[in-house]
Order: sequence, then structure tokens, then C-alpha cells
Amino acid sequence: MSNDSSKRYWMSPQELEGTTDRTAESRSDVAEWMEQAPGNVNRRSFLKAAGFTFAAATAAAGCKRMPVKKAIPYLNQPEGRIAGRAIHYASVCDGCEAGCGILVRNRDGRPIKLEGNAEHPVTQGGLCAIGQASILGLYDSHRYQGPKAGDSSTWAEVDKALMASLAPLREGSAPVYFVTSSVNSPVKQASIDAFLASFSNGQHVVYDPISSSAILDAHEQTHGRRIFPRYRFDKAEVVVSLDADFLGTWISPIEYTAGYQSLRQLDGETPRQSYHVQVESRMSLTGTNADKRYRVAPEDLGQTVTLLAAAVARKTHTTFSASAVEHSALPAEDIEALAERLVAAKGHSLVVSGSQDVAVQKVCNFINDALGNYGATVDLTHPSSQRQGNDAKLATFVSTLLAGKAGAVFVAGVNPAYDLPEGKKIAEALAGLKVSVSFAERPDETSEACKFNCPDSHYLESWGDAEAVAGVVSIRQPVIRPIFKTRPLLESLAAWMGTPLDGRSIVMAHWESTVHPRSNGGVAFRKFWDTTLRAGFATVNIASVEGAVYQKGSASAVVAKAHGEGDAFTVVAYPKVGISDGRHAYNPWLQELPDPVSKATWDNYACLSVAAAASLKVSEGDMVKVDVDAATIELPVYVQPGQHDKVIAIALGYGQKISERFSGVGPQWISSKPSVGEDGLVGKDIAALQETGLVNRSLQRSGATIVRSRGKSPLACTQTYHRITTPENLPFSGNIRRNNVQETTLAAYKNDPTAGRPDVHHFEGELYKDDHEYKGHHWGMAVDLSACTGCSACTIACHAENNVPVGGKDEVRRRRDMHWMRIDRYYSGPGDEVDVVHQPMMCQHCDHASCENVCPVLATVHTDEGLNAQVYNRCVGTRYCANNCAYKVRRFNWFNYRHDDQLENMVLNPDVTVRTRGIMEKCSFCVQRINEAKNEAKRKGVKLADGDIKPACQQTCAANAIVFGDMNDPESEISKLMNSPRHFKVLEEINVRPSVAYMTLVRNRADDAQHEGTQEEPHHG
Amino acid sequence: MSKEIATYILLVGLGLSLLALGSSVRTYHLVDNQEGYEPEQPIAFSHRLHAGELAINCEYCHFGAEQSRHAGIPAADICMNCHKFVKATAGALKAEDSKAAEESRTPQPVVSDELAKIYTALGLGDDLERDAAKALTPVEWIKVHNLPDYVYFDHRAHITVGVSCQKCHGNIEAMERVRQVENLSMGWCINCHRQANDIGVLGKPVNASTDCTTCHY
Repeated sequence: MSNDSSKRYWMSPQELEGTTDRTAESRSDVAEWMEQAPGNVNRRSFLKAAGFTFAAATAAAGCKRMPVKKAIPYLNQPEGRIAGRAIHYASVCDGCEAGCGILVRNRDGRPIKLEGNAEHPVTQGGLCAIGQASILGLYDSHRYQGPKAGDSSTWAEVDKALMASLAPLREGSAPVYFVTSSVNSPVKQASIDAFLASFSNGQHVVYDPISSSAILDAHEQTHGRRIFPRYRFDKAEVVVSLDADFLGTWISPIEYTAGYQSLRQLDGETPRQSYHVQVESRMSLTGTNADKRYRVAPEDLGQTVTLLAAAVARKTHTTFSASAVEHSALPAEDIEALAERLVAAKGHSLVVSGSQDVAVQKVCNFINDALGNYGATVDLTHPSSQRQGNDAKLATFVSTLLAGKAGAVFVAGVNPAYDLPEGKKIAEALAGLKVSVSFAERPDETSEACKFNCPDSHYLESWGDAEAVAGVVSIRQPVIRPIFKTRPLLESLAAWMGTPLDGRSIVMAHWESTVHPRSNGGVAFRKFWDTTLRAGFATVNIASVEGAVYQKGSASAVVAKAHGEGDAFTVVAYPKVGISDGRHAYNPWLQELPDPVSKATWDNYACLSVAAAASLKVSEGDMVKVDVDAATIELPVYVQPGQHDKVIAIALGYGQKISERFSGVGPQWISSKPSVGEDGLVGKDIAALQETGLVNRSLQRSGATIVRSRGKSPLACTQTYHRITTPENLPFSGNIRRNNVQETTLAAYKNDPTAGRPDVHHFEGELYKDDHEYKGHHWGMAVDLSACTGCSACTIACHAENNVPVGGKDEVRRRRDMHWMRIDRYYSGPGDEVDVVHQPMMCQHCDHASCENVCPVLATVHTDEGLNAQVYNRCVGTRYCANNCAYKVRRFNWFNYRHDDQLENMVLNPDVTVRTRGIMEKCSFCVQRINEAKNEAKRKGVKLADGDIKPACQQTCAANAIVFGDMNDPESEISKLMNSPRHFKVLEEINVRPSVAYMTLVRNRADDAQHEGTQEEPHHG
Repeated sequence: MSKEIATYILLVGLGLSLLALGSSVRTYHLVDNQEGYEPEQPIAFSHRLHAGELAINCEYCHFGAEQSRHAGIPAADICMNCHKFVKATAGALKAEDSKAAEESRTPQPVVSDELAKIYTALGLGDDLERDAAKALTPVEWIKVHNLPDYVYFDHRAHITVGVSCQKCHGNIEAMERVRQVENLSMGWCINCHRQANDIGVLGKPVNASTDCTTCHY
């Protein structure tokens, strides 16, 4: 039996070195409070004050009545709408271009929560953190509240002024530009095309803030078509990813995660796992999940892929010359072995790359073609519209604009004045134009420079559609009337073309003429429309993509790029899972979301490998200066194990104008510190470090230097606290290490399904046998560590569902982040060659809960169904429970959070109490959903079925890592998982009997070289 | 001497305050107890007439009760199902008829003052059709039965097992104006739940949970 109990897990490099400043980071709340307690209050004066307050309150209570509450019903009841009952509308997310199917939950006329549409064939029910958080954008009081152009502020006036300015451009030769991000909506594309056709020189410029134009360009050169393939991770048994963070931020993470996990099923007759190799320069979320990971400098990616191509070519009897490559970043035998595996999985393998070097992408195309992956895992017949950016066209636009030769510029969905390295010049040029129109929803760098602000409505207020993957079309329907005087882009364009129409008519007309003819079955349009609207999507025929075959010899070896000289570093700009390209940087939920790998919030920082940090003698929070080509930027350091030693990784999307709003976020009190930096913004804009004038915009830049500068800027990192630690003064007997995660290899698992399970103290018998009988339901949850990618969508889903407040950077620094669900990230292994485990951690609803015993007011009690209930109205805030909780999952309301922004409060879930100051809170297993499902079953007179109740975290999980259900039902999925040999409980040895089980993490590895320490004798109690 | 006067004054004072307190003991309420609350409503709707005399089923108007957490206050268009035709009391109509006969003229249409409020709210013209010139003004009813924000009561669960409306809302079919007759305190809820678990509802056993999370979350 494999025994991994000797493997050591750690959370930060300091912890591994044993240099963690425990006094600063791991003390209990009580210790901190005792130091902070003001000295001039003694027990007697406290009791006096308390007594008086109590007496006064009692006296006052008798003569006080509740305030008068009004109930204002509809005048005309809309059909099917009943007060208090949620209605779900199918729609499609617009948080990014991936176009995930969603269901919008509406309560009493307002949308309150987004859920993944489980029937959607592409995304299958998952929704990412950004999608989950996008609903907050609807209730954003900082949005543009109406149009503006000079002194005009009504649509009629603005339209008139704009039409007058556009008139001379219709026939002129000066180009009229329409700048957008990739347009995945057919109707929007058609509208833009029609609008631009009304100008003699109208041009649509498409760019993606995080560009993938190299993939499109490479296919143009190798396959003769500039199309973006649909990658089928659900068919890829062997995945090689070269710097593509496909589980986290690349193109369509939900779709890819669902596909990827569908081939990693361990339970059942034949356990199977795809084999995933990640070659990357920084530690991406995808890298943390890889079965095999290589740290390679970005400059060496080309050589690596060339050598791999040559090896694949040899084994598939084609030719690919790699003679130009001198040295290999990967061991030659590893490349051979990888090629062997790829060839063995011919037609079921996939090589993807996030590189912006067309030559590298062409070699990937060669490999995929040699492996017969085109038509299988790389689908060109159902191309994706998620990335259409053309950087060459963008460059022409920028140079024309900067030369002052542009006639008019329309900007929708992008922020070029921030996104592009030439941003500042673009803003100046836009300000100098006669006609510059911005559709931005909220003030940003570009819209401020534009003459006309014609704010688009939020996507939940507008009609639209999406065809992210050819053949699956989705309708977007409005779920609320526009809150402000904004106008959907489609309607604005229609008005400016002289045919004002409402959004619904525009979408319907387009669907009737273009989409309906593609449908099967010959149903009438109206019926097709109604069915599609209800389902949210329709599967339709697609135009065949002809002639897209690999043209032999179109890819050639990539010669190594020059590294910077000597000590030079390479700056790698990367998107964070929550912030991505920064378009959602206005969103406090996403700002407060701990990055899945670094666990830092409210900031970007310079990530350095452990070795690099050691050689520079810097540690977390130290300020450094990063210089590239006369551009300098000062940032705090974050030490990121697993990163390449010559790489400085810095997150995109920070230092934006839209983050100005956070100057006052979180509770304001005497010692509070702002969440923004000295410049009034969250994080730093790193546009200055990026290279201009590239054919394909790249996020990497060689030749950077880094030096330590003065001062420190502490990061708000959540991982060093709320963690499960063994107190130093309580060493375990013998040499047992208490590991909260279990892992093993596929080889070991196939041999023994209980592999990876350490021998822990097993309690036999119970002291209190009849304590809780659980005669009805007994709720439980299982989390599969093998499936969990750490993407953190669950954290935000929980945030939205349970009215979790946002505290701001300073509160997070003070370990007062309020997330009910955190994802613990453990490293194992030495230095920078680390493995990573993600472990979602929420209230474990222990049967013998340690919190329940210590509550003096019975505010946390056990229910008949095994829930550990937190009763807010009883809680007096002693915080004993939080101190006594072994899992550190309880959160205390130190303040009354956010009640000033009335509009933002509209997002609150009316089914969950908003907690006030002085109250403890924690995961409730979404008890409101349990009660709703139980009452619905009761009403319908049916038994509650397995799967009727899905907590918010389970619902949104694209990887199906979370299962919730009734452990008393032997047929339920949860019961099966609870009996799985893979299951384990965290801190099982303390016998609190948690209701949450975890499934051992299994990596697809053959080696079992984890027996470093001594084998322990089983320990029985 | 002065000590004695002071003592008398204090005693009299004490007696008076006890008297004052005594008179309010009967109506002394704990925080948030609104038992006996009977606010005046914007429209003098009579439950006695509709639910009592006319015996209209409660769920005809409060149709949310069996499907939702909230029973719901009916929308004005539900009133119009009947009051499109019934515009005044029979008495008022007869009076107008006899008055018209006396004055030998055709009777004028009669609209009761209270019903006129609904027509105004809905922005209806004299012909009881929507008059676009008139504004829509939703009726602002005063909520009688209030629970604190941290309590989630579900009508549907209670209606389904057969708990009568009157169990909590009192003899509503006899009330001209709705009054809160129970104190709606937690103790009162729990007593009923315990009782239901012991003896069932309508002779059928039920599972009336007394877990905190049944109502608080």
C-alpha cells in the first residue's frame, strides 16, 4: 500500500524554510484582540456600561413598535409571476467572449444570481468566477447613467449631433473605424457590418486585449483559412499545453475544463485519466493541475516545440527538421517519451500553445496534423468565434489614428487607451478627433477621451445572441428593464442607420432571415424562436469549411529567440483568473477573490521564483523596480514557487481608472487603510513594459532588469492564515505529519484504490451514541481533489448566493476576508520543482462539531439533518466557535458591511439574511436551497430526488468536483462517494466526524517515488 | 420632618408609577410583538364581506399561498375580475334607482368611493377601460403580519399539509379590517410545531421540524 504520509505540504516558501513570521501571520484572533484592546476599559466600567445599555434597551423596547411596512402589489399581475418564487431565464453570459450558457434567477422582477445552463451543449452547466460576478455589474451605480456629448444628455440630442458629424464622413475617404473585441454574436456582427456599409470607407477592427492572433495567423498560413479551431479537450487523451492556461484564463476555460475532466474519471469500472503535460514559464492555474510540468523560459518555447515536432515526425514517418535547434530546455529523453505518448494516442491527443509567435503556432499545427488531430481534437469545421482579433489590422488602425488620418472611431467592448501599450497616445488622438464614440458601460480611459458617450446597456438588460462555437446559437434575453438611460448597442446602431428598432425586433429579424433557415426539422420560425428562447440555445447547421487542410511544409523549425543578456529577466504579463484582461476590474467580488495560485487579492505584483528571489535577496512585499527599455515600474514582490528563474510575471488588468472607485471600499474606521495605492488605483498598469510595434502583440518581453528599491508594500494574501496548522508546542508523537490532503499516482491507484491514504488514528466506538439520530436526511458533501482545478468559480458563486460582504484590501490583510468557501493551495516538493494541490475548504458540518460545544448562547447548533446551523439572531459574537473550529472556516462580521449603495444592495439574495456587525457566519450548505427543494417536493407531493439540491458551489463547478446529497439515501451519489475507497476526511483523527469528504488526488504518473520518510505504524485509539 | 415628607412623596410617586405600569401590563409587548395591530388601509377592503359573507376562497386572491413562500397581496386586476361589473353595493344601487324613479329620470351609474380608488389606481376611465392619459398608481397596502428579516416563513409548506389560514391569521372572515390576532413569536410557532408533531394536522402525521434552520438562515 502506498503511504504518502511522509510527503510534506506547505503553503508559502517562508513556511518551508521555517522563517514564517508566526507572530505576524498565524496568530489566533484572540491573541490579536488582546493586544489591541484599549487599556482604559476595565471590567467594572465595561459591566457598568453594558448594564446601562441593557436596561435602557429593555425599557425602550416595550414602548416601541415596528416601523410601518408597506406591501405594494402589481396593478396587473404578469402571468406566471408569483411573489417569492424564483423564475429562471435562459440566456448567455457576456463576461468574456466564451459565450457560456446561463440561467438567470429572477426574484420579484430582479435578477439576483447567475447559474450555468446544464443543458447547454458546450459549457454543460459550469460558469466561471467572472461570469458569476458579472451580475454585480448590472447594479453598479458607477455606470454611465445616460448618453453624453458636449452639453447634450438625451438620446435624441446625442443622436442628432452624431448624425450631423457623421454626414460628411459617409462619402469621404477618411476611414471610419469600428473597434471591438471578438464579436461572438451574429446579430451584432451583422449590425456592425450594415452600419459600416453606410460609409464609403468603413472598417471593422477586431482585437482581443489578450491576443490570440498568432493562432489565427498560423492557420491562415498552414490551412489557408484564418479561423480559430474549437479545441476538443473532451476527446484529448494526451494534452500538451505550451504556455496555454486553458483551465484558467485561455479562450474558453469552462468549456475546456468540462471537456478535460470528462476524460479524468477515476470512479467506476475502469479508472482513466488523460495525460496532461504543461510547459510554461510561470505557475499558471493549468500548470498546477498538470501531470507533468516543465519550467521553460518563454524564449525556449520555440525550440521545445520544434524538437517535439521532430520527434513526432520521426515516429509518424513524416519529416520535420530540427537541425537548427542547438539545445533543448527539456531533457531529450523526455521529449522522446512525450512524442511516444502523443503518437500512441493518435487522433486523441492535443497540442495547444498560448504563444503569440506564429512560427510556434505553425509547428503546433504541424504536430496536430501529423497526429491526425485535425477533425478530432482540433475542430476546424465548427470553428470558434471566441477569438477573432487581427493584430495586423489593429496596427494599421493605430498608426492611422496616431497620424491623425482617421475620420471617426467607434469603440465597443474594449478599452484601447488602457489595453494597448500605445494607450496614452491613443487617448490623445481620440480626444483630437471630431467623431469618437464610446459604448463603454462605465467611465474608462477610452470613453473619457471620446466626444460621444453612448453607453451600452448591461447584457442582462439587452437582447442579443451568441454563436461562440459554430453550430450552437444562443439567445440573450433581457431579464430587467434598463436601470439607467442606457441603450443597447444594437438599438444605437439601428437608430443611426435611420431605422430605429427595439432590440427584440432586431434580433428576431436576424434570426428569422439567417438563423432559422439553418435549423433542422422545418418548424415554423415562431415556434423555433420560442423553443430556443426557452432553452437558451439551438443546435443548427453550419456552412462547411472547405479546403482547410494542412499544407505540407508550411511550418518550419523555430530557432531560439535571444534571451536578454547576462542577468536579464523576461517580463511575462499574465491574466489573473478573476481580473483577466481587466475589463471587470470595477468588480469588488473579483478584486477580493484570492488568485487561485498566489492567493493574493486587491493587487498585482512581480512574481519571482524562489531561487530568483533568493538571489535578489528579496521576499514577499519588498518593493522592486522593473526596467525594460527605459520604462520603469515599481511593484511589490511575490515569491512564486514553480516559476522559471529568469521570469518576472506580472498580472494584467490593474491600475485602471475604473478601480478609482475603491478608494473607500470596505469599512472606514480609525485604523483602516485604503485598498488603492498612492495613485488612487488598485495595482499598477504595466502597459509601459509591453512591446510596441509587434505583428502579433505579445505578453512577453525580454531584456528586463530588476533591482530592489526602498520600502515594502505588504500583499493581502489569504493563504498564510485561516489555515489548518499544528501548533508548534504540540508536536505529534513519533514522526507523524498531519497532512490535510492525500495524493497518489494513477499507477498506484489502479493497484490499490486506497492508495495515498495515510494510516491515521481511527476511533472505534462512540461516547455519545444516540446524540444525533438523523432519521430523515443526513446531508453530506464530497469534493474530488482530482477534479478540482482550483478555478475559484465556487468562491464567487457562494459570494453571490449567500450575500457575503466585501471587506477591501486592508480587511483581508487583517485576516478578515469573509469568503465562506476558500480554496487552500498546498505545495509539495523542494524549491521551485513543486506539485500543487487545491483543496476547497468550507464548513465541514461535523457531527461532533467543536464549535457547537463552546457557544454560550446556543447560536450554533446541530440540526436533525446533520447541518451545523448558525443562528444569526442568537449569536452574540463571542467568537469562541471560530477559535474552536479546527478547519478555520468561520467568519466574523467585524463591521456592518456595505449598506450605503442602495443599487448594489439589489443584488442581495432575499432568501439569505444579511448579517450585521458582531455576528459569526459560515457555510450553511446553502440551507435556503435545501429548504426550497424540500418545500417544493412537499407541495408537489413527491419525494426529494437525489440531485434536486445543488448548493451554489456545486452548481457552478465546471469540473463536477463537488457533490452534495443525502447520505441516508444508499442510492445517492454522495453515499457512493462516501463509500469510495478514495475518500478521506480532513483531520479525521480528531474525531469531529465531518460531513464533508474529500477524494484523494490522483496524478497520472507512473512513478511512485514518494516514500521519502519513514513508514508509520498504524495508530489505533 | 423633611425626611418624612420626602418619604411620603416618594411613596406616592411609587404608587402612581405602579398604577401607570399596571394599566399597561396587559398591552405590554416584547420587542417586535405586534399583536393587535390593526392599521387603517388605503382602501377599506372588507374580509368579512369577501371571505365571510360571499365565501370567496382565500386562495382566489392569495394564490401565492400554496405555491410560494409569500401568500401575496393580490394585484388590482384580480379585483377587476368582479369589480368590472360590481361597482357599488346593492343598497347604493337601489337607492339611486328609487331616487331616479322619484325624480323621474334614468338612474345614474353609481361607483362606490372605495372601488373608485381601484379604478384610479389602474388608470381607468369612466368606461372602465385603460385611459392612457391617467397615471398608474399602485396601491400601497400596510403590511399587517410582519416577521423580522431573519425569519423565513413559508406559506406553501403549511397550506400543503392542511394548516388552515385561520390558525395563524385568526377569524379573518369576520374581520372588517385585518388585525393581527396572534403574537407571531418564536415560542408560538414552536408550540404549534411541537403539537403538530404530537397529534398531526387534520389527523395525519406531519414532520414539523423544530430545527433552527427551518426558519433561520
